[in-house]
Amino acid sequence: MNKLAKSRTAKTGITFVEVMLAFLILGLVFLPIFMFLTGAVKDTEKFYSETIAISRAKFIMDTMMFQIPWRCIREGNPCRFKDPDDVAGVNAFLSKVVPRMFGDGCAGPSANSYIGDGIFECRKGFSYRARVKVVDLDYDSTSANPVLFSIEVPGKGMQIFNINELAPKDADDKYNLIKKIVVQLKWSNHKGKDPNDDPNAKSIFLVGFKSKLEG
Amino acid sequence: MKDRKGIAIVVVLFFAFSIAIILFFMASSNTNLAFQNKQTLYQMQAYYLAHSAMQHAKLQLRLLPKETYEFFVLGGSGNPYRYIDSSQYPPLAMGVFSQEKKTYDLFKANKAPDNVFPYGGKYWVEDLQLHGSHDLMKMTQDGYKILVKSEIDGGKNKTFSDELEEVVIVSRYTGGIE
Repeated sequence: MNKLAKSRTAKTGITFVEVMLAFLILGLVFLPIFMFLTGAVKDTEKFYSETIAISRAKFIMDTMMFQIPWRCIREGNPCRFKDPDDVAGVNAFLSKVVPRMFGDGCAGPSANSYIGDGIFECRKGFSYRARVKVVDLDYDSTSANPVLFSIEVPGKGMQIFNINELAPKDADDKYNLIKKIVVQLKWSNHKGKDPNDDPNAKSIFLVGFKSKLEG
Repeated sequence: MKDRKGIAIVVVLFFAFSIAIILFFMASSNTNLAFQNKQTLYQMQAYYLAHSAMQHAKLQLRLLPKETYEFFVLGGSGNPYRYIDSSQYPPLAMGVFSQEKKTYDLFKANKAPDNVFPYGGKYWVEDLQLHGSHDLMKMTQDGYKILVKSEIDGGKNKTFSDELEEVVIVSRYTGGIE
């Protein structure tokens, strides 16, 4: 009789305090998980913006190294694009490709001329600035330490040639055979913010040397 | 009735373990993305230096086709283009990574001097071989196999190398190249 009475009066349910405690524990467990997920989404966007920058830098460098004629790439920071021979086909090509490389703001001061500088936005709303610096490694500006072309021919000794002995002056009145190209892509990880206004903006660089293989 | 005491701890442990596994894979997937982006960039930097080397070698072949041919027919041995090494010429010498390179910025005044590069590196012609000659044709042509290499130095654990091999045909007396 005593046993039966005891079992009937035993507490078998869940109290309100226990339920609240369970919620508290669940909350404590899920809080860092949600924080982690938020951080992961932000990181993914960060890597996405970096991927866009790498891809655009590659496009710019590929176009400059392998497609745009050597004579059209002119020295400066930012560099200039203008065909000194004013060939219609080349002008049409530049008018299509340069805005695709740099986005807005790459129009030059005169007709059929462009500058290697611009700003564009990706589909997620991040802003990027692209700029290219070109340095002519010409005979006059490097004459103290010039790039030489040399080969040792058996029986004839070392044959050494300076740039001015091998090439005529170009459209910029320089003895030049190699141009140094530096591409910079700069972007902000804050959507819609101009990277030049962001002290924490990220940058990537590519360097190439384009030799005169035309003409 | 079976005794189910202790089942709760098993369920909780299983739950915690599952969440830990999911979080681990999510974290590693993002880490992989960051790592792959960096690797892609270093690989590209080395790739363009290798192409710079190839263009430099083609330029010399175009400018000195007769001298290059003579090197081989007059019994020269080794690599006739061993002097094409960017580290030997100051305008091409990118050097090693330094603090000055870390602050390189084309968008800021005086942060991108002409003689400074945003990262270190070098390229060189590893080998050049005469592959064959067409002396009987109207235009005398020589075929060469060029092997170039490049290395970039973007700082500690940020180095990468690349190499490129091409066969080119050059006109011995006019320097026309294909």
